[in-house]
Amino acid sequence: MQTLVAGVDIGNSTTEVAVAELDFQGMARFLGSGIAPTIGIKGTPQNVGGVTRALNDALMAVGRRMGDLRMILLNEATPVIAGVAMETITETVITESTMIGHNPSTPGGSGLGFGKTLRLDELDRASPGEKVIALIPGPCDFEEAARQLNRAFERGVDVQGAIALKDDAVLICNRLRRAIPVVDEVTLIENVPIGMMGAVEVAEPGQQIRVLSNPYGIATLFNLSPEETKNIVPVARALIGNRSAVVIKTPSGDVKERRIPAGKLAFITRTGRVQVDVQDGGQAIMSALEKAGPPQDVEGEPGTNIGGMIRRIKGIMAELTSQSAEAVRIQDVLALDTFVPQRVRGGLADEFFSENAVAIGAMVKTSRLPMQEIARRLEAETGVPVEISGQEAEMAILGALTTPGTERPLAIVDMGGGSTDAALMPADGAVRSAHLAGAGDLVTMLIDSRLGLGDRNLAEEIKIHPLARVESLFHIRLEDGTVRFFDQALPPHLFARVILLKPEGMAPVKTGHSLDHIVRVRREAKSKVFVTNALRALKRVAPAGDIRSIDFVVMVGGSALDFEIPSMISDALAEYGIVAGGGNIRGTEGPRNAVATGLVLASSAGPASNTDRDCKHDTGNWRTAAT
Amino acid sequence: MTPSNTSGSGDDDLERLRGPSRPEIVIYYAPGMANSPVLRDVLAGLEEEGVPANAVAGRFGEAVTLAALAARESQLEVGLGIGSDGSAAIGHSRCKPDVPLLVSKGAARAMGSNAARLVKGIPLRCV
Repeated sequence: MQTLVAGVDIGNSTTEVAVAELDFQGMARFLGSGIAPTIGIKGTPQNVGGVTRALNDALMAVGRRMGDLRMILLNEATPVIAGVAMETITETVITESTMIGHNPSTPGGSGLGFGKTLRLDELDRASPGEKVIALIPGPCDFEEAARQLNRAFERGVDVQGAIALKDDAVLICNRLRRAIPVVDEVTLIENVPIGMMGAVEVAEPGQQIRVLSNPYGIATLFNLSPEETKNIVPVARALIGNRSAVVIKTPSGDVKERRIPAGKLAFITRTGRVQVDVQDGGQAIMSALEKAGPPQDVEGEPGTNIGGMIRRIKGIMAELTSQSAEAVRIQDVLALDTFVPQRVRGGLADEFFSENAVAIGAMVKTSRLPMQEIARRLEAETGVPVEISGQEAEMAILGALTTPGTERPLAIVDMGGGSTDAALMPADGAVRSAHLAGAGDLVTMLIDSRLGLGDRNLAEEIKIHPLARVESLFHIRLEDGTVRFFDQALPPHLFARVILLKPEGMAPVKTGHSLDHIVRVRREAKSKVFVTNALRALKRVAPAGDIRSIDFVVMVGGSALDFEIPSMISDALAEYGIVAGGGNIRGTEGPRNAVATGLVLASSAGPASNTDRDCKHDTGNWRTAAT
Repeated sequence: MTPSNTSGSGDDDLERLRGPSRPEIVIYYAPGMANSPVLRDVLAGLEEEGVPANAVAGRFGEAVTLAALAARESQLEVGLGIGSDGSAAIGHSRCKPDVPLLVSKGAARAMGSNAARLVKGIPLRCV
């Protein structure tokens, strides 16, 4: 007699199903798998909708119906919820000087001009011989602007340079009797102070400005004291690499990079309390955490940035789990140093500075999830008996062991959206597991902030799709340098842009960043989060914390499907002599379906700890025999 | 190369290879558009981007056809057509004549810029 059973794994983002037949000996023959997006927060009764969809999908594919099922196996899900937050810890304010550090694609003329700022329509008031910088407002046509500037030249006014709102610099310069540098596309030209000393610099095509990007260059022009020169450093730094720039000195105020009081983070452990100043950065936070050991809760100093950040994370988690924020206990954090482009206060053309920031992922273990409630509803909906059996980590390992080429002792690294989990099944003895903060969502946040996107969805797409650059209307160059040609012209809005190669087609990434930069940011974010966490997690589960004692590591979970994360981790773990790679559950499923498969195997073979297995690949089916 | 090409007539051959025109974007405008603001703005867009252009009077009134012809004449493979209705079109010599890359009415300056940017290999402006 054959019994049809289904293993069901409700994950944070997807619900996975494995359908199998158990024969009279209790051997499981897998028929198929199903997958559906998880509906609602993992562990809540809304999940039932996703479960029935995944079940129906899987059953339909193998020509069976819900009524044929004898048993649905549900796992005791680990109640882990994660949150992310980010806070800048430096801020740059420029008030003494005003600067325009943007890079219009076509500035006009070249050289350095220095003089008093004056509006174009007030040029008549300038006396002959006076050095001025002309401000050309929006509505002014380029021919009219050139006419007025030429008239000023005729009167002997020494117009040294100009700043324009529209993209007119080359047109104006081409119509002038004298060559002067012109910076254009200055959107906030009405905010440029009038009657102040200012400098305009435009480099030759293909070159970078040299005077305004050098603190001493600015000091020489404006006759600055050593103290003032110190204050101008952030301005000069922000202008490095530009082809054009404007610096205007205003009478009072200051420029400095200042540290924002970020506050202290406290790890509460069984033995005490370890504090670390967030200003010291992510690395300092992580080494403090390592010293403290796994915390029972994490607190942020009230009234500071970190205090707000931790409160925010706890608030989100409290909402998700419908408990009070006071009851939420953070069990792990992953803090990472990063940069965030911040709009410069005092800039005139949307200039950005890279400010230091700390990104934090946090993980909370909630009280036991209401799986009984889900089971009851699922039973009512399907009419099939539902059994809650097995711990998630244990089931995942059982499933992962069906990856060809693995054997006990085996560790898995489960890389999801919110947390990175590891579990180890020793040659004998119980499964050890660890849940760490920081996974796919943190990577997305890092990409979003580093590139200044302000768009979580775009950051997510950059994370999961490879990039290319449209080199001409008829060819693109992929990340690795290979070229693909097209018969038809590509859409003009993609031309010369960095694009995402999505399965459904190409999509432009409309940022000023080069392909190389985006790739670097993406890879760095993935490596910072996942390589760091894979090592941290394995250290937690390894006997005596020794990673080298683990022989096999199988990566499972959604992020194991990524096109580069598994190889990054394989590479990092190879240093410890570990065989690591993306899982291939049942030799067919890739890194998916480990828990669902494990559930079926456990039920087919009695207690998981007594399981013996026997893998036959020649038939393409997986068989397990009870001992 | 044959021996005759390396002797005295080589310069003439080279001249012929260079073709009749400089590397520039060719613009064909419809009859009566020689002094139109559309042509002026298109030329301004090209000049600001620093790409040489040559405007020639065409015989037709339709921007898309003019652009396709101009593109085939242009050494830079990109051509502009300015129609008698005031619309502007950008054509590419490797695209079908009836399929312009871009057509617009009322964004002449940006069309000039974009034709230049196609040659320069930098992202286009929104039209």
